[in-house]
Amino acid sequence: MLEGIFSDVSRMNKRQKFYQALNFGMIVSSALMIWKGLMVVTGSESPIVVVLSGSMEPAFYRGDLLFLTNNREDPVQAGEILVFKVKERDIPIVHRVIKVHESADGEVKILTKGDNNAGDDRAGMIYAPHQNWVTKSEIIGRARGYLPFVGMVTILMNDYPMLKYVLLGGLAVFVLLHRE
Amino acid sequence: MNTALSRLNAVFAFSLSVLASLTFLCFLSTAFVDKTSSPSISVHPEVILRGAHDFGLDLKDLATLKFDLGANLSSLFDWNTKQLFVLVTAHYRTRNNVRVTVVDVLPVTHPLPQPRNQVVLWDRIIRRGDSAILDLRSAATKYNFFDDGRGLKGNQNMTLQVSWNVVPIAGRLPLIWSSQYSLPFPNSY
Repeated sequence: MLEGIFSDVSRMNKRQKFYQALNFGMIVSSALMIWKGLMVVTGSESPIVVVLSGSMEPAFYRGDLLFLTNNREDPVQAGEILVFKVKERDIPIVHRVIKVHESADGEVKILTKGDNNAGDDRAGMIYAPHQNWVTKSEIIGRARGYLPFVGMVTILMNDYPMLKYVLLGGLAVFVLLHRE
Repeated sequence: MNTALSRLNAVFAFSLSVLASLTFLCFLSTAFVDKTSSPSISVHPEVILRGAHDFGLDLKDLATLKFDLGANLSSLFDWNTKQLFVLVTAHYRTRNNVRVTVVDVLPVTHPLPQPRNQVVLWDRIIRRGDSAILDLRSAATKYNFFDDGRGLKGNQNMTLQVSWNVVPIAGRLPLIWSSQYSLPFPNSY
């Protein structure tokens, strides 16, 4: 089977090989452009996130996919699901808004809580030490769409880096060597 | 080149695209379904106010109240509804935290609350298969009703509002605002 693949390449001339490489670049750059395009449309720095913890069960489980928007004109409402980052924590938190206080000058103080947690995030020590509220600058987005399980691929790739190399390497080899 | 590997690949790719299109159809079939309902909400006359310390912060107004909530949300469950997250939220304006312009992004049938203090008082998860009928009589709030200052005493623009967040099996995550109950607050602690 492998010989079959490589025989495809050996039958290519130089021009076809270059074309194949350019095709590969095309796929990579369109994926990047789609991501950047989503960033512009949604206003969120990370329009799609994977749920990494069980703190929002039974709504979201580990490995579910969330689609975010972060339109600045559209104020945060109590009851919405917020994705935000906390200082000195690598992974963003996905929790529900239970308090909003917005002052006249537009400064917003938000308190969040995980559906599956007993207390809010201030009492639950989710925030940084001495942090009482989530503010606008920490918001990555608001959850607007939901797709179950799909993010499990990314979780598996993060847990088993070898899988990532095998999968991405295999994909690259296939695209580079496969002749249309 | 009909190797076992290429057949496996074809089967995998085909089942993946079938699954994806079925999921998309499932989302599409319920994307435009009306998720509104009109529950009843009211508050018993006695609202008790006092000043208290919220988690080591400054002295703040703390209100205690009991409310009635009657709702039949069964109609909101369709084949693409995993759960409902039902909330009772207090909306009000204070001297510090005032009304700001709100751009209406949701359909007009879901009035967005205008004042910019929102405090969730109570919530409940109704999962698929649970009874979607709520009949609460003089229920206590689940969370403490702290203001972000001393803005509750004599507050005349207090409104309680029922809302729910529909969590689908796959699809949109709308937050729908429903019935309101206006509740002027007492002038004394």
